[in-house]
Amino acid sequence: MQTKTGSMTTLEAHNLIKTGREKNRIELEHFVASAGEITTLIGPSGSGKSTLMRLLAGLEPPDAGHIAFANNSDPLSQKQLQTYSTLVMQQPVAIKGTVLFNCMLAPLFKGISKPDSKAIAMDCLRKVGLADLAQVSAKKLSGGELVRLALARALAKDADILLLDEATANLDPSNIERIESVIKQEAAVGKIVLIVTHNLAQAQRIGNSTAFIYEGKLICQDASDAVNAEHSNELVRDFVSGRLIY
Amino acid sequence: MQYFIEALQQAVQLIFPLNAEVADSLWRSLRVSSIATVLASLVSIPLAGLIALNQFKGKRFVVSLLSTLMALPTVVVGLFFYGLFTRRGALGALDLLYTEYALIAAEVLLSFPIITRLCITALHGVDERLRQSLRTLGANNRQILKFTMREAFLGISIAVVTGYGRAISEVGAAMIVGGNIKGSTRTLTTSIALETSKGEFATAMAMGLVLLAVFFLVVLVLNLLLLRLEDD
Repeated sequence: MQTKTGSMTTLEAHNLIKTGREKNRIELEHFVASAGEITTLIGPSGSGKSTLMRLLAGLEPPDAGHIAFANNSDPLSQKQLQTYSTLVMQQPVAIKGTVLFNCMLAPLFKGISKPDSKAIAMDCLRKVGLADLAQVSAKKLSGGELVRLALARALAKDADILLLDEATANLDPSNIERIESVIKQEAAVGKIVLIVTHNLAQAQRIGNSTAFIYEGKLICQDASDAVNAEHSNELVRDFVSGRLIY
Repeated sequence: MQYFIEALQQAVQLIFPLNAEVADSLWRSLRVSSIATVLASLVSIPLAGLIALNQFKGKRFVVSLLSTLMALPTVVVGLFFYGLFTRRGALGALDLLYTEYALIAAEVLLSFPIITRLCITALHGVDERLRQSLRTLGANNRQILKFTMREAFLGISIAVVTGYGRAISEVGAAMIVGGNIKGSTRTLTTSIALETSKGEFATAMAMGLVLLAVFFLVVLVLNLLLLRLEDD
């Protein structure tokens, strides 16, 4: 499957290293996320999942290694990654202004006209069920609504790579269901979707492939339903069954 | 205490109606300090943005220096500009000494570190995740700066109002570079100093009350305006 840019099929990270603090460092030999699929990232807290997301979002440069599209050997620069991707953070922040204004920002940053940006924003707000709150101040939203707004804001960018860093943590089941539904739709239209989650059931429920990261290293990347208590890797088995101590 | 109360009563009688000399000093004080605050803000706000949102070698030193300069003695600023504007000074040819321009220059220098430093604090107070969110939404550096400033609007406004307070209330520099010339460089604060030295305590107090009332009024109007803008 191809993304809307027509040439990207798979996002790959090669020999990616990000050092720094003892925790959250990354040392990945090879990591893959395919377009049209949902790739879930699981692993203990501090294993480097969020660091990987930040690298993929172009928020930080790697110390070594590179990220590229499979059919193009040229590494993606930090600037290109910022252009091609968008990230929904675990604790998103509301930007001063209405819900609609928040959602119009990405199209406006792209240079799209105000009326067209508004139409895009309203469409995205409808997807996440926030159209009724379009004129409400974004600072007044509840936690669940704010995550939905952050997702709508990200959707409005129409980026090829959608990254969600524990976006559904602390949300009620109905909000989780709604967000998962939107994520699936995005993958279905050919986007590269990556989700960090601590919810193993969620990883298996919506993920096509699941990567297990431990102490900054990619331990395995398999079909989501194969990452279970019967997995061949002992660390995976211990993590899935709750025996992994970290 | 009785002396103070009597002076206060006389002061109130002197305020209404406001005599032409006091009105002239008041108008000059407002004009000079307003222009100085606007000029200082034009430099301070963008500079604070550059300092707050960028990492560079010596940043801590620059911020510490600005913090120190917030307490810059006004007479030192006066002496500095006197040396600059006096006939034998580097800018003596411009003939600025004992003019309103000299007053404005001194007040700009006094307000500048206050506005810059407080703006830096306001910008540092903006959640780092906001900038990251904007970045992932495709904002460029200029847009990120704009939105961060927008988020810190109230803090920046308070910085400007504080700078204005410094400008309108200062007397040391105005005395040295302005010379307290009646009808030319006499401000309300230098008038107060003069009347006190003449022993006209009631007159000085009347002027002090006018200055206080005007400053409160200006700050009140500014605050109401800013809060309204903040809500919008």
